[in-house]
Amino acid sequence: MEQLLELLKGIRPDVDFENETELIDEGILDSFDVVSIISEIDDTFGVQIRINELDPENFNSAEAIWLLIQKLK
Amino acid sequence: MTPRRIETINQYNELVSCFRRKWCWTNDYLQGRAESLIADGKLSVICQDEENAFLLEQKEVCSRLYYYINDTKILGSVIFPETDIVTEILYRGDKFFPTEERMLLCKIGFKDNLIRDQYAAVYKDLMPASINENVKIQFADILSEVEWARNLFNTTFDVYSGDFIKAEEIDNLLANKQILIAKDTKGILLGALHQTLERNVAWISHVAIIPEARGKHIGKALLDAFIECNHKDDKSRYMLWVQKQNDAAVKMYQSKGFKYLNKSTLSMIKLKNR
Repeated sequence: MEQLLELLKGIRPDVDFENETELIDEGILDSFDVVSIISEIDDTFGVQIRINELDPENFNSAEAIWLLIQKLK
Repeated sequence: MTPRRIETINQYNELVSCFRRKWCWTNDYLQGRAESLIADGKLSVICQDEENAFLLEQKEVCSRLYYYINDTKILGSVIFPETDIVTEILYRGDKFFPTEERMLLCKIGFKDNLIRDQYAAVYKDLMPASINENVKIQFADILSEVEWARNLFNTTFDVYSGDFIKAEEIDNLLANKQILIAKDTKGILLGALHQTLERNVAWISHVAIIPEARGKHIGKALLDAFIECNHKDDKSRYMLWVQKQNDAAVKMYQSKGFKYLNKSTLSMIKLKNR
């Protein structure tokens, strides 16, 4: 999880990923951020996220993203 | 190849899953927007082989290109329709400037237009507002003021990369209080700011000042008013894109407390008559 938080901070240093739970619903992350996150996750964790897994709920918090990674591993 | 309209979201999704491969060059970050563009009949595939796909979004003054490039060797054979086309490459700061992607687009006839950078801030990190007694800021409350602001934005900003405001939008801009205007003490209009609220983020869509009033902190007064109008708590979030070349605007946002998000877009254009 720490590795993921570091990855997310690298992409959007202005966002409080430890506490935000509505990253997509609140409009904090946009589609370019999501695609950047997916690409970094692929490089770091070797997990490929497909288009049908781009459900906003999977990206609303660091924890949700972490759960998605665990599910796809 | 003649542009072929994309009729359904399934058609779009199939196209994306077929062409978005691991090392693909793409600038298609449409996602949720694709559905509404398709519903409005504004998204077409303009040419397609087994390796590369090009989508065109019909805009007000030009078309916007989205691409999926998997094989760069066959790019030379792409034939685009005779129309003005803009495309944008998003990238994460100067360290990741898209040199190769830019070269690919040059190869198919695109030229550099401009670069925009994204900035953001939350309320608690912003400098307090300062008082400027020479200017009065208020929401536009009559149609003629909104129309004046629309003309100012449309003539100040790049028509290809920015969001051109259509005449039929002015009623909504007035009703939704989206235009802040700056007047001098005699009531002369000096500048305007167009705000857009997306979920819980307040976006600056356009800010423009008439040439005679530039350098007099009118933009800062509009920015201060915009921030205060959208202040709910310390976590209130503000975002904007600014042209990298516009030093005065960049300095204004930075001194207010806005931070660059390591997110930029290189706009490139292919004009039919050049």
